[in-house]
Amino acid sequence: MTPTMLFTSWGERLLWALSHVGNIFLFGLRMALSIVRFDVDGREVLRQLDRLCLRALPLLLAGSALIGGIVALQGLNYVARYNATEVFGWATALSAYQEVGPLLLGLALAARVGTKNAAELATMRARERLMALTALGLDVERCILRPRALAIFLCGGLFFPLCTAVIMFCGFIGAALLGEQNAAISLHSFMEYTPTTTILLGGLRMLVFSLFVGVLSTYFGNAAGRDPRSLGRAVYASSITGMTGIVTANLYLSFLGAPS
Amino acid sequence: MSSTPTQQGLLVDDAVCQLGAFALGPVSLQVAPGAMLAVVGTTGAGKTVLCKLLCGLHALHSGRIVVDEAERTADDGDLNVFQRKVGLSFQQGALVEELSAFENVALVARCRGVDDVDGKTHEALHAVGLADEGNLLPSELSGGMRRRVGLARAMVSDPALLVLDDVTAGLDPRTGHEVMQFVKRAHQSRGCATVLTTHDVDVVLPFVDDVLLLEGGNVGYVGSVAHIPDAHAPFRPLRVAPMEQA
Repeated sequence: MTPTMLFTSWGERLLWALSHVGNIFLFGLRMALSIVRFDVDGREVLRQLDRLCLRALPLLLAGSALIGGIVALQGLNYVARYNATEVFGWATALSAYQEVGPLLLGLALAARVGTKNAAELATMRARERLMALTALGLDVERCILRPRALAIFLCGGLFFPLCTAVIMFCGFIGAALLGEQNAAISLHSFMEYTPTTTILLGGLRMLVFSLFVGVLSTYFGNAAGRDPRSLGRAVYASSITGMTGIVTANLYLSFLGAPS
Repeated sequence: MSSTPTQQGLLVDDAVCQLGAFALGPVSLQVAPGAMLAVVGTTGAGKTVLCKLLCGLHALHSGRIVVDEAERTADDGDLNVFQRKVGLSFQQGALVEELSAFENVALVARCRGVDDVDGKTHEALHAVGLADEGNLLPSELSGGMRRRVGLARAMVSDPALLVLDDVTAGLDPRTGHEVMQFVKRAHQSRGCATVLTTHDVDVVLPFVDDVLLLEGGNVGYVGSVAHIPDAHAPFRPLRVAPMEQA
């Protein structure tokens, strides 16, 4: 391969990637504008919240329980080493609301809800379902795509309080069973030392992650071609970009919140 | 088949569609409100291309298409306004799998701004004989039922032009005949212009008024079913009048 061919090949790939980035940005912008203008099919958003998101809740809750177990085991190490019984509740809340909780919940959302959304849209695209709706004069983006992306975005915000409550509960109970950490002291420590901003920032972080999952999975599902391989590619692109976006955003948000 | 604009119905005037190496047209035809035109031809003749052209899914290279006073040319025409005048039923129905039959029809009614979405949806499903099957998912419907839901979806917003792409494909003759009876009944009750493509000349042609025969993207014959010339004898139906319901 000559340097010119190499340059052309990489240039084409770069342009392809940039065009996707631009289209994703525009799709996200149109979605934001439609929310501001209340130009949203509310009935379809609710339907997608039910069938895409609510059905994922058992898995997310089970994941939250396991995250609670991890948080308990990690926290107990510090309790034992530094006799930090008084701050166990606070440390658990910090993990649940600000660090491990949103990150793992975001990844679970990308794996369960994002891939399902991308696969369904790619199938609809391959079988000309979306083309048929366009031919019937429907604005597919307004009627099908935006409600899905918006439902996933809302799902992050709605599930966050529930899932973090499960993480905290399982963390406290796990620590009480495994390390004799008094659950009442843990709860008191949580109530006493955890600032409201920690909880609010955690919720905001989760909303950012669910926005990534909603926009990226909808975009890649809709961008799929008609050949059977494109379905796999859409799901792959949705999950990889969603997870990469979540981890990168988490790093950036942690960096912003780090003490200078 | 004159070339004067109609108040309603469909007028296609020297329409040409270029898709890579394949060219459709020039095609000129007129379908009055309440009339039904069948498009026949061998595989690859351009039947589906013509359907998609009529629905605005393919670009018009030259000529013009008028549906109920909404005009579309190669350079002009609000595609969204044009598409709202047309109801399309794809091959196999092309229903959204995750939605029930009722929801499939209601989605189109709602997004097209139809008043009384639920009432109109019930009415459309009733017209195709599926009033009691509204809660079933497409995977729970038979092939003929899926076509009928597709037909209800195409009709729910009372389009001026109904386009049906290979509506009897893959169906046995009796089911195909049943589907065509629903098509004919729905078409007559609404008085819209209807264009349908088919390979099934024996099942479909007895129901239609005129036929357009495509050969390699060009018009081979346009006119009455009864006068299909000898050169196109394979496209003559065995019966001209619809058979009695079995």
